[in-house]
Amino acid sequence: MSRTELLRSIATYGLPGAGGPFPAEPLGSPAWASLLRAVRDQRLIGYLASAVEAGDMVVTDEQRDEVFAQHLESCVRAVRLDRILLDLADQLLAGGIDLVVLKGTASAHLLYPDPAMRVFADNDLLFRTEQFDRALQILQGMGYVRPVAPPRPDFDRRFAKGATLKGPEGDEVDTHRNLVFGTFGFRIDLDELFDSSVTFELGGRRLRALGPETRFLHACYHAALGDPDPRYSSIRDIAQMLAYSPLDTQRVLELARRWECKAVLARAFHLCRDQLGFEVTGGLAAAVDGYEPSRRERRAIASYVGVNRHYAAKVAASLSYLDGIGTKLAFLRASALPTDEFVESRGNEPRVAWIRRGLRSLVQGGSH
Amino acid sequence: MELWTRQEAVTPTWCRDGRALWRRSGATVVLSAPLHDEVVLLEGTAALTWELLAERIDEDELVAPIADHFSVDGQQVREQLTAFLEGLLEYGAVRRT
Repeated sequence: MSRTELLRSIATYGLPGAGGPFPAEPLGSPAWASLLRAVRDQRLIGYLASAVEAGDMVVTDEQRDEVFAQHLESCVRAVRLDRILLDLADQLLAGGIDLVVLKGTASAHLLYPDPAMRVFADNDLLFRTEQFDRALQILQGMGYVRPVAPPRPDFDRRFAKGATLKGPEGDEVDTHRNLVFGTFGFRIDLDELFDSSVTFELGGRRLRALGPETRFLHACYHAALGDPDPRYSSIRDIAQMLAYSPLDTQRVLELARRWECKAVLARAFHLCRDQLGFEVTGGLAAAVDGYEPSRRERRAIASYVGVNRHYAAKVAASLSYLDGIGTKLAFLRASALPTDEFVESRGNEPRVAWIRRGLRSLVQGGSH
Repeated sequence: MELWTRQEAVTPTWCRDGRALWRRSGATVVLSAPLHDEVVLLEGTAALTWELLAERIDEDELVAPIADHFSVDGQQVREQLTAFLEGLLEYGAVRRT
């Protein structure tokens, strides 16, 4: 049994009709060490711990100790991040900021029977566009720093997906005003994300999370556009929702139509089948299977996960998703001519490189 | 008319404080209480006690399953259990009524 096959068994553990097979005997040392590294990289330790605890994954006593040592470390991190999240929410809500918890903690508590199955490494918060700057000010007042400045002063409010902040306790918080940078992100109804939000309980408090359908679409964006080789855990979230969440199929399809993201769903379902071996069925599959992305959609997806993916490629692919020549020019200007502070925060890359990329974006964008 | 009050020993009941955060990893419970920076790890009888505290429960009801599970004397469990629960109360992870 190959390492990839075993990872797939672990990544689908607990899903109906999936989660196997597992080897009948414990792995030898080299194969075990390699598997455990991959499990850590793919954030699958919670599923592996469950499989070991249930006796489905046969391991030696020493291997069992290693699994639970790694899982315990993840659980300690998750509990600390949950506590930090509550502190953040206290300060932000007191400052009049609306917030929605994305991914990590929300996924762990809302999608899985035991939150310890879903491990994560940071907190993700969504803010309303008009409150984004104020939210960042509050976080900075709590000691959070923003290592990368925005390309232009008004970039955050107009075009950004969000910003990553480093916390005083070594934690990281990803702030969002959108779910995707560029292209498909410009079609998302950001108010809808708040209007359809739900609440979940954490530490005696009720926090907001995305509603089931928008949460599902976010998971699809994240897996389909986040990385050419997305983590198994990102794809598992999609499969988990397809298997267990009460998704309103018609509403998902209506949102996908309005947000013009059917191509994203098609790629996400492909990843479920290809990477996890999880068969997507039902109304959503029937509506999405066989979908042929347009040239614009193919170009947009390639700008995130294609061979020539690059910031400039995203900028170029985004132009056709922006309405109005003024907005397009403002976006190009902000992307191609960032401030000195931004260039410095990105590691002093020669300014000419940004200009060259910007010009390339303009040329590529103008040709479509 | 008889005027007296009858005093009975009331066994306290315990439950988790809803503000506590926790995860379980194998036989270990990772616990965080509000107003405390440090995370606490519970193992063995402590972890089992935490599982039993999912529902409001009195000390008498806690003793038997712990004694059974670890095959130890009930009186010995009772003595240590009270101290442990008091410690959790001080930490802010449980409530007593």
